[in-house]
Amino acid sequence: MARQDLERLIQGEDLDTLVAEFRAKPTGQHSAALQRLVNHIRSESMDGKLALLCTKPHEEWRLVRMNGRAKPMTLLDGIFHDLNDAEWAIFKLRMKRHFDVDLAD
Amino acid sequence: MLKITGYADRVSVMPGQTIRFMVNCEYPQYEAGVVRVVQGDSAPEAPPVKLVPVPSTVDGRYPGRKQVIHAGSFARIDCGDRFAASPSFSMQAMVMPTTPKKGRQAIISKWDEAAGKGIALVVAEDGSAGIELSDGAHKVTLSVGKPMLAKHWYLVAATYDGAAGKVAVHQQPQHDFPTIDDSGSTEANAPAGFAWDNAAPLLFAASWGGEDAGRPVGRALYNGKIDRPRVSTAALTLAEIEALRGDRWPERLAGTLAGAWDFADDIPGVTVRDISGRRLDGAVVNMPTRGVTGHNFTGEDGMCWKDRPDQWSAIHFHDDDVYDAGWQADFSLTVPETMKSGIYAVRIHAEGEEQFVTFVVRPARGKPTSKLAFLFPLATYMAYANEHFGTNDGLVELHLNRALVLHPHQQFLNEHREYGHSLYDLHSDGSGVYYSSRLRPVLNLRPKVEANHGAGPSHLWLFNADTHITSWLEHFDQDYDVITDEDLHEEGFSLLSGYRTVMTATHPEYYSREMYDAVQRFTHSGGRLIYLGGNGFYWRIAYNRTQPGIIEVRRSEGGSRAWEPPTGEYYHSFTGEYGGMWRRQGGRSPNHLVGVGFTAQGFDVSSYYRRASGADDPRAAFILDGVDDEILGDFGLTGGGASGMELDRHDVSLGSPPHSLVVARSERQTEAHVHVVEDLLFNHMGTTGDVNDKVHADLVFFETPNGGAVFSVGSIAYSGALPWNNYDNNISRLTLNVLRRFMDPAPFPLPQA
Ligand SMILES: [Fe+2]
Repeated sequence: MARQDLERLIQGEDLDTLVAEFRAKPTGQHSAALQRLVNHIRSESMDGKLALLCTKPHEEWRLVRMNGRAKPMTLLDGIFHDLNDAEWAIFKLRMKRHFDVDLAD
Repeated sequence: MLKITGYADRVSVMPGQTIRFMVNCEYPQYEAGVVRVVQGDSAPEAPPVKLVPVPSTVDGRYPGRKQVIHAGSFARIDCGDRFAASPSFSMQAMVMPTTPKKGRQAIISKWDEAAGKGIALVVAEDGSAGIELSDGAHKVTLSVGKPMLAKHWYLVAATYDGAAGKVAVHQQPQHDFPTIDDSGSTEANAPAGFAWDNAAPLLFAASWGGEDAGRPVGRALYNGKIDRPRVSTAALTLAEIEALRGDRWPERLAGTLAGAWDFADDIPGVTVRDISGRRLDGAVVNMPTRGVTGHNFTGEDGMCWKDRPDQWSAIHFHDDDVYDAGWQADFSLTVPETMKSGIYAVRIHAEGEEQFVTFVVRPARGKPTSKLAFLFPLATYMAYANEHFGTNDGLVELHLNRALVLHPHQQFLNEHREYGHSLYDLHSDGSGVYYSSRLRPVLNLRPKVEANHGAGPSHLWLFNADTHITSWLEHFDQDYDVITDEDLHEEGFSLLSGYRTVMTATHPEYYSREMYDAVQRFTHSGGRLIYLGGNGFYWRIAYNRTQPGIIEVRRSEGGSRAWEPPTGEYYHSFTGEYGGMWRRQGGRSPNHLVGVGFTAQGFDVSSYYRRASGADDPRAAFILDGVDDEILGDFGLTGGGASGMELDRHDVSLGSPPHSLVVARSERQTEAHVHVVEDLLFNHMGTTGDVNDKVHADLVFFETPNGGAVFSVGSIAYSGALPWNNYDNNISRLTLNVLRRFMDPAPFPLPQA
């Protein structure tokens, strides 16, 4: 099922190519297939959403899981010093979570 | 988690006036001092943060103390021991609970939580109407046992017969649904002659939690609407209760009717009027929402509460309403005559933690100290005060098209809902937030703070992004006064008339009629307006005429909006004015005022402008004087370009003056930048920046009567380009060209046909 969802989103495009596109430029205009894919995985509700907490302004970000309105967030393993690295880490976790796809660095 | 927060009793202060500061500090002591805010962006790509210490009487070390906020609105009737001699009692109201499953919520109470004594009509733990009765030693509780539906109206009542020793509860839905069993009455024995009365005030929507540092505290806070509450000093039958639910009462019940409140009386204010003749008037606490539809709203007798007040005789209470935090003052500043007009903040720091309380020193009334005014968009800052974009709705990430980055103040506000909400948030019961106050810590109105919506590298939104403008002005040694929206609302055109040029911030979105008219008159009286932002002059707001420091918005009819009010709630309670976008208010679209109006938003990456044909018109030649580039602003601190975040389009059909010149137009906006919904009738494909021509910003110039002029950039990201390359770039240069020409008294002639 998860695999069918993924196929419907990327519509025959090569997943590895899309992943490489995201890794190279996580923010901004993407190709159509990649944008469909990231729109899907970014639509996570606030209950369970993966996000970042800025722990040192413009220097350090911590991976967190949101637990819904008014509920404390959960601090997860993962400290980043570059927002692109953090985006990539979240992308990998979501590909696993939504499509059971394991991505290597 | 933050351990220092604070606010001031005012934001705008003039020389000679005193501003008081209230601080919550969980450290044993802290240091405080005043700084002038020039540049608050702490990104490494930005010029260095510039906060200039200003010696003042504030300088010093202070003991820290914890101060808390008691949120939750209710109405309070001080009635002393008026009911002590008549233990039999009835309470009734029409109610529309919005969170019936939340737990115990008081609808009408004379209940002292500390003493555990009193009588109350409640939404019981089981979600149905209930009664609580206690003399402090014995407590009787009874409920109908059939949960009420959220957002449906009911007649609810509770009675105590002190002679017979009986309690009864009634719950009647206004509408019956198949499969839903939510109607019922129940009664039980209770001790006779119960001495339930106490010193607590009679409350609607809460029970009495006593006072804390002079502030009334509500407990068992109720979410939802209450309409036509009544209390009687007798145990009424259900038939008698039904006879009292309307606005005319049988003579035989008048003798025992002890209070009947008409919430349609004083909708703009805070009083609640007893119309029973017993004069049990009271007042609301924490500004619950008024001017909301009652149980008898038809939709056929007018849509404004002024048309038929009896159909708006309800108040919507929320357990997270907050108006005035009511903290004790820790220090104050009497502004010396020598203190230059500008943006300031009190910097509070202890044990490595830093907090700011931002304020503005404006010039004395009628005494500008510069020919240039920077208009501090206080109303918009209040609209966004303590926003919960990053913690309420997961779809925010699709606006951003990048990972959600939360900041410590957002983490704090998510868990401290008592700090109140912004006009973008929903209350805990899911209803839109109509009111926002500045009499509470506003944790996103300070230098160094980051936000979700502003894109990288700086990630700034509103106030801190606006310091790109002040730092730019100071880099070029341009002196300026600072005036605020609140001053503009109160003084109107006379506040502006002494200035040659008024400059806006990056996002002056919220305007009252008084503010809008003042700016319009300024531009038609020879004044020059530089609109240095996007999505400005968009929502109509109202100020309260008796309660300072609070604004209201009703996002009526349409627009790019965080919630929509239900039908019948399109008019401001504070003024009776129709709410919504200015473009629906007859000849007052932002296009009329500044030549451009909101067309698109997106928050990932900004783009650039390309020189347009208007640049070649001799009337506009001064703008790009010395700038030969075809491409303008392909750089910047907000999304890497000057055109981004929220964009405005030139459109004569929406009111842009026909003689206005488009000097430059943006292109290649990202797909995340989407065309605004108010331009769409049927939704359709192709509304995104990568394919839709309407997703662009226009840089516009036009002359106004009596030698004035308007220059608009139509983009929130624009000002993020000003400091780029140490303020040496084509955006900075063209903006400086405009400013210098606008400061030149030589009139702009109106073009001839
Ligand atoms: Fe806005």
